[in-house]
Amino acid sequence: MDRSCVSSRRAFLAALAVVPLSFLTLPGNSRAEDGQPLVKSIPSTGEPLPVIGMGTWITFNVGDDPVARDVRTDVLRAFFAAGGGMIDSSPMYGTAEAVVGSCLARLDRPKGLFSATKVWTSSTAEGLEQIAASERLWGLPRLDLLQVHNLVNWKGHLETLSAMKADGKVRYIGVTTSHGRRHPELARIMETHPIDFVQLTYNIEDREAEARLLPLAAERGIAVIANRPFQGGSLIDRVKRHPLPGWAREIDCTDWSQILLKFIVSHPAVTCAIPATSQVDHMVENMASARGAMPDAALRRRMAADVAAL
Amino acid sequence: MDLLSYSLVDLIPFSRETYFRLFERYNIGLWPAPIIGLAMGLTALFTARRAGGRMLRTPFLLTAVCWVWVGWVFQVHWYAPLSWPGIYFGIGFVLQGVLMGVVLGWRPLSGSREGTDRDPGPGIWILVFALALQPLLGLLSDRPWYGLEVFGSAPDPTAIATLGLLLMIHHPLRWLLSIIPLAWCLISGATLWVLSVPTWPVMPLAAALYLGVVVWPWVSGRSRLE
Repeated sequence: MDRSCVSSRRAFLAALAVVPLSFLTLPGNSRAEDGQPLVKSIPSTGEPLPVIGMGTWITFNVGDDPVARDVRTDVLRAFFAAGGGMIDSSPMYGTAEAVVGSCLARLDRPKGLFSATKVWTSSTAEGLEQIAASERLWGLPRLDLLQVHNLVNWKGHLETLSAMKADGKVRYIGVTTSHGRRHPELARIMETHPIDFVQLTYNIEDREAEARLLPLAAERGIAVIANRPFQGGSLIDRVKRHPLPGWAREIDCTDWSQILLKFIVSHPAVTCAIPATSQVDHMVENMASARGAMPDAALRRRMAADVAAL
Repeated sequence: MDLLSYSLVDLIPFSRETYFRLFERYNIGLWPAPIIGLAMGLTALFTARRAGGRMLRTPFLLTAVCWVWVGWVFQVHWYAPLSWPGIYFGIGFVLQGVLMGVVLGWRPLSGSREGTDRDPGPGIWILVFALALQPLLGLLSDRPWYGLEVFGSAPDPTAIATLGLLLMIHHPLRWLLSIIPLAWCLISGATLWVLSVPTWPVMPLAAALYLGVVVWPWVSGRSRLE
């Protein structure tokens, strides 16, 4: 593709990103256009990103098991067929990066991939080796997003990542946390460092990020990746024992996973959610969350209240 | 690394299905190692039950070899790629094998306070359980026979069998040789609990039984009478 076209498209999208995603907070539910999956702009560049990504924690850590790798390849095929983009992994996830890389190679490097991984070591020097290993495992010359995992040695790694970004060796940089760990420290990093992404736990049950981190991300123009959308599985296990609420039809949801995911990605400050699954049918259900009507602010409040009451 | 910020679940980054498949692939990939391990376990059982004097070293030397094998082959090369603590587990298992080999294999068991009880007591039954019954527990979780965990090649039955063997001897360093098997019972029990494997209490219960048998003479005052 012509670089100037990309540049002008990015400039256009960046201009659009200046306008906040206010449609999500307007009265009445909004709708993804023409059956296409909903995308949101990465604030620092305006690049569009599908709102449903994919996590690899546990689900892609299957080692050399050829049977399991076949299944994960099918899961990824379904992900990209439905317009998926971001795949998030980490060196902490055992063989997940190697399995993702193997599946991507079998799918002939699908278009639309947004590769996101992390650096997870207490040593800054070792971080560089780990990043090189991640690129090799993914089979990519350059990763889209590198994040400091769980704030481990974040000062040292952010220096490294910032230098890599300046040299064009990575497109975006960020910091992650999960389970509500170290939110005050994460907020300080967001306030004082020019990061593109932050990853944190946010779901209909764990809404702590709404108080400080999500407004801060919106204010600072930082994209937000929401991890643990199903609270590690316990949330969906709890709610799926109940029938779908009546308002599920208003936002085109046919199962609970879509309700939970639409709640997350309809928050104006959230850029994408990264549910993990090892089953093709679950992937299809998850990806359907990026289509159809999205809840407005009033319905989001009702959704949270109803789920809390279950 | 701030290890205290990690929970138990963070240390087990795989599913129950993946864990079970690990043993299936391991047993098939290293066949006939599981059969050889089981044969070594049966040899240990019969020599521990009947041998005395120098021959008593046999079961401990065999078991020591199994600890080194499980540590180096299973933990380091098969388990650690799935979960980074596996490297440390591997080191612990190899260390246990070396300790057993040195303490109970090379050093003759001598003196009235050392050697086996005439009545092997619960130790022999724990050993029999680890060799014959514990592998079958996998069937309760719908695991195929070729994915069952057996003494000598899998960590759990190897650890429990070792506790059984240790109960059958008196030795001043028995406490030292108990640390790693007991720790593994807790680690494995916690892993299986996180994975929602219904038989998860077996390992911690085995550890509790071992400690109970060891401590009972002191609690009941028997040790003062001996």
